[in-house]
Amino acid sequence: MSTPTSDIRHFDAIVVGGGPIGAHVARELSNAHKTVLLLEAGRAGGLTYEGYRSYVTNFHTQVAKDTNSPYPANASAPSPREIDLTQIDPGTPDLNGYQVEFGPQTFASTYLRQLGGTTLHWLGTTPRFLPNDFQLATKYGVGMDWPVTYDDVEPDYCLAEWSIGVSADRKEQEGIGIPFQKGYEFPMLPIPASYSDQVIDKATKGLTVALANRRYPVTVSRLPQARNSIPNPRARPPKPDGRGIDPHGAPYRPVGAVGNPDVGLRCEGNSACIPICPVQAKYSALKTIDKLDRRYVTLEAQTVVTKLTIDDNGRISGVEYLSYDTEGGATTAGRATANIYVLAGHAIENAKLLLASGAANGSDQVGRNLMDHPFSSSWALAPRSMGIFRGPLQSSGIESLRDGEFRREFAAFRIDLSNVGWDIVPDANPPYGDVSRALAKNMFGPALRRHLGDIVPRQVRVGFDLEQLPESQNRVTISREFKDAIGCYRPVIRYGLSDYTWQSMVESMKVSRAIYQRMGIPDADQHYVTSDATQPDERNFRARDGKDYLLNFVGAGHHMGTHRMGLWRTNSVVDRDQRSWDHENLYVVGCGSFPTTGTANPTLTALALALRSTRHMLSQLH
Amino acid sequence: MDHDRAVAAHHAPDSPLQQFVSLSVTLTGFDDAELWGTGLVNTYYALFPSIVGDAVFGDFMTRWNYTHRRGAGDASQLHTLVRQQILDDPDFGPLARNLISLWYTGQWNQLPAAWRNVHGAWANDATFIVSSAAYSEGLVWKAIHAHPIAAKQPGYGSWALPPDGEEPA
Repeated sequence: MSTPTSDIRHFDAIVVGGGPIGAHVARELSNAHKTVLLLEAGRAGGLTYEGYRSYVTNFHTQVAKDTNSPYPANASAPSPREIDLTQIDPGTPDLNGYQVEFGPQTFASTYLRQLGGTTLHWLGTTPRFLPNDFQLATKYGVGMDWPVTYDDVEPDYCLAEWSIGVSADRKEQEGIGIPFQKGYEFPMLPIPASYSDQVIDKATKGLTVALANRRYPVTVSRLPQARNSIPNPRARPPKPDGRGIDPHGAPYRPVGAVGNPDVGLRCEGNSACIPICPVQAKYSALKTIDKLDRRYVTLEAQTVVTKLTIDDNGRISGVEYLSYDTEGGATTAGRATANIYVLAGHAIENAKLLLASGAANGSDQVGRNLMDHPFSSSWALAPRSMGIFRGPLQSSGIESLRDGEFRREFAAFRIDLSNVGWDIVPDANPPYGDVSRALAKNMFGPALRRHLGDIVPRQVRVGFDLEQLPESQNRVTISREFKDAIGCYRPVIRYGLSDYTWQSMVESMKVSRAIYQRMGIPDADQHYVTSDATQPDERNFRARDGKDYLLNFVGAGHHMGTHRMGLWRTNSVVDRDQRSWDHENLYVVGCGSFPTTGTANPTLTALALALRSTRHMLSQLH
Repeated sequence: MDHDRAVAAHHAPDSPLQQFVSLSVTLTGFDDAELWGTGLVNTYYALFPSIVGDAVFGDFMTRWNYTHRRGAGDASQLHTLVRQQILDDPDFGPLARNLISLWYTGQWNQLPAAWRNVHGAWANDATFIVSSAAYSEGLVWKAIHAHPIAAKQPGYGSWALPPDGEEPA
């Protein structure tokens, strides 16, 4: 079955989803000379350099510059957009856009259905999970344990970091509790910390905060990032199985832009990782797709898989799909078969497809336990210029509060430091919002220029990626009432936070206050989405200090948990190899497999798990 | 010689184009070399009448000429007059703010309903960004000592250096 062919619609594997996970699975299988049909619902943008640039110039002329703004809407494979989201009134669903939202909170995260997936607009931040993130139940009595440990996944973290090109410093990461195998080094040196990072780092030296009666350090460290930096000359690649270092291997060579490999060999400080890196110094799955061996991989974009069919033995017997020539135009039905099937279409889309197929749901967990890193911000005006809008969107974070005994009581958090000021602050929209507000005050001439030059560079924004526990009522479902233009299901989402996360949001304010005080920022120049509630409101949260707070948050774009992995078929959708408990030739891979969220941006961990799973897939195909 | 004379007339201090530039200099706080350096003077000069018509644009420029002459030689007086005669004016204020918006962000903003109740709503009067170049040349980025996001990138590691006027951290 390993003869390359394109006539017969049967393959060794069908991979659904042309994002980073699907691209890596396709690469690993095709490198082993297995035939792969890679199906992507969206268009195949960016396969040439000039084609990719067309999305950059499109971004320039978009008035609303949200995460999906460079990528034109596609009625045949719609994606959620921030501009479609509204605050949900209790009891009234939000029917705007692609996602149908029933609340009680707005699920304000987006993803992108286009070749390359959400890595086209991702930030590129790639921290590993901490060992304790894999065993939350055992360590702290909350959530659930993963069916794999950190040590199980560590070799694949190394492979994933070398595959996508991560810039980071091993010692710095060890300092926040990440263990590494002997001899391992990140492929590239860390991206330099921005000037504003340096100011905050200096101001917070020796700072500690109390969380649940213990003190923890507030330590700034450089973020691991999938953005090109200077190759580490001492680093040697991991061996093919990730176990051990190949002493004879060559140091890492940065991968430049698709179709123009001399461009993008370093991060050039475009301040635009989200929603598009103009030079492709940031990893996107297009780089992996570009190098796929097309003798073995058949790539078909503009093809929306609508159903998995199941035979009498419980094996998946095929995929049914609709392909389209033009976005929003007529569709053609098709079908293909394979020995194994791999769903890599994103946590929401994977769940939708399983539900639409009546597949893999013996545990009733498909679509449930939808999680994100609810993101809460504080912002302030520093006394002097922070030099913002000059580098990648983020270059450092505070990783020292990602773990601790307090996790018995409330969520841990990873703190990110903005290099672009009040980017996520409601209605701030720097610097355009600053221009509009100045014009509304009839400012003009040199006074306008001086005013903007004074207030914008002093903006500081501290953000908190909060942990969220798996809760079965937070879920994606489908309904015949809600379909898109080609008759596919729209995701119907029910989502809310529990006290575990709300309390953490209140705690996060303490950390912000401590940082701002050290920076010499007066109270009047500090701002919180999270505020003492002055009005009675059913949305108020009564915190442990007895006060009521009116809390708010946005999404981090870290969809997790909708097809979680586990040790038992009764409470999980896939096993430790991300294979369906119910269908032995079906794998469901990606962030949807995460049992808990930890605090790390999830893509790197999803890639590591996927690489691990490909070895199991190959054992089935041999 | 005809060509040279035509160019000279076009750029003469009292030519309509130069009056447009002098208004732009006064409203933006950037000098004429900086504005010409964007390559967008002619684009914006042509854009205004294409959206609001020659008559409205002509009245706007006439108001500026009148204001400019009255305030000539006294910067403080001119500033006060520009505020009173142009920015606070219900007819010309919205146009002036749109001119500043174009220069600072490359964006034309749909004129306010109150303005449209008097002058009518024009077909091309929608909020839009003029072009990729107009976006990239937005003066706001210069004003905030930065570069336009996703364009004119400053280069690897530049973000680690202190911004203008600041000491190393």
